[in-house]
Amino acid sequence: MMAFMEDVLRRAVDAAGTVGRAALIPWGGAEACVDAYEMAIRALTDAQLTVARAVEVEPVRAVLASCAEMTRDIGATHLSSVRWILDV
Amino acid sequence: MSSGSGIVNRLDGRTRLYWESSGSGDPVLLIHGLGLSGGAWWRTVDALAGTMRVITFDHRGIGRSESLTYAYTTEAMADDAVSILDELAIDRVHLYGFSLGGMVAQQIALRHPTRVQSLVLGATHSGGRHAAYPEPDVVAFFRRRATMSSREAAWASVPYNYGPRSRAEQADQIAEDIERRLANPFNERAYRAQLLAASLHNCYRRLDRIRAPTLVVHGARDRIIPVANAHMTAERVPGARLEILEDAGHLYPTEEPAVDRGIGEFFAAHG
Repeated sequence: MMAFMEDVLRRAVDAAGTVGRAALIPWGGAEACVDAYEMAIRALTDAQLTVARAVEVEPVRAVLASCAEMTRDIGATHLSSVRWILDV
Repeated sequence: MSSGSGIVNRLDGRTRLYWESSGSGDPVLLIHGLGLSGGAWWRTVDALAGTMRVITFDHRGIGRSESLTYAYTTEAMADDAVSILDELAIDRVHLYGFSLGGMVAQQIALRHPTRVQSLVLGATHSGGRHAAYPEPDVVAFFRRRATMSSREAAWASVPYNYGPRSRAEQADQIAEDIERRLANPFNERAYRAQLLAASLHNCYRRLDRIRAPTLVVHGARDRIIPVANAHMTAERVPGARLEILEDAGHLYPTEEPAVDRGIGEFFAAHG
């Protein structure tokens, strides 16, 4: 039963990947889109960290740094899942 | 030989990273695996510190390091490692990541390529759908392990961590490993967080962007991260060298201690 479910899931992910890759062709392809998303996440994270370093008032600095970490980690989770589905 | 230790405080005010440094020479950063602390590198530190400055650290939430939350990724752990290099004013470093640490090392090589002089990926995989995953009984054990006491888990994991030859001939070394490991216990939440980070890790398609000279080392009898992953990684990383240890399991630094000398020579060749 487990093997059957795993096979169904794998086929569903493959189908989603095929559709996703086709849909992203007009925007330069799946790999370019995922790379652009990754660059955007990094730029946003770095911007928040730059502001956090400049602000010497606590707890504002800690909140900004925590937001930067959340941005990076949530983005990384998205990217890992999307890379898995799109196989890029 | 000079040695030192310290704490890096991250900007969030709660994440603190403990590091240790031994020896002098070209710096090498050792990145440990799942559920272990920097202290788990003791054999390798002894082998490399005669000619290099060897830096170890405890991942966030493990050993003497703390974290703001127990939700993190290999990207976060890579940035932690780089913050230690920043603290120590080290621009470029040789990197040696083992198991989960190898995943973190891949992220450093991709996210901070100018900081990496050379790279050793030990008993690790690149994640994603192409990775070769362990047998179901191994996965079931690691889920169960989180509910065991540290001592029980350490001994129960021996058949998974070490190859058959080592289990038959190296009982003293295995016992020594376990006593060292138990001296730096980790909490269950951090262990689960690291498992999640490893599960989410996915660098396979980007390995061809790694530019640092790379050595991939793996035990052929590894049950936790099957050796097929080493072949895949070595094929994907441009110019990577592959060394398979035929008799070794996952914890090859204990089973084949001579490998540390070869790794030292690899670092020296790319100094």
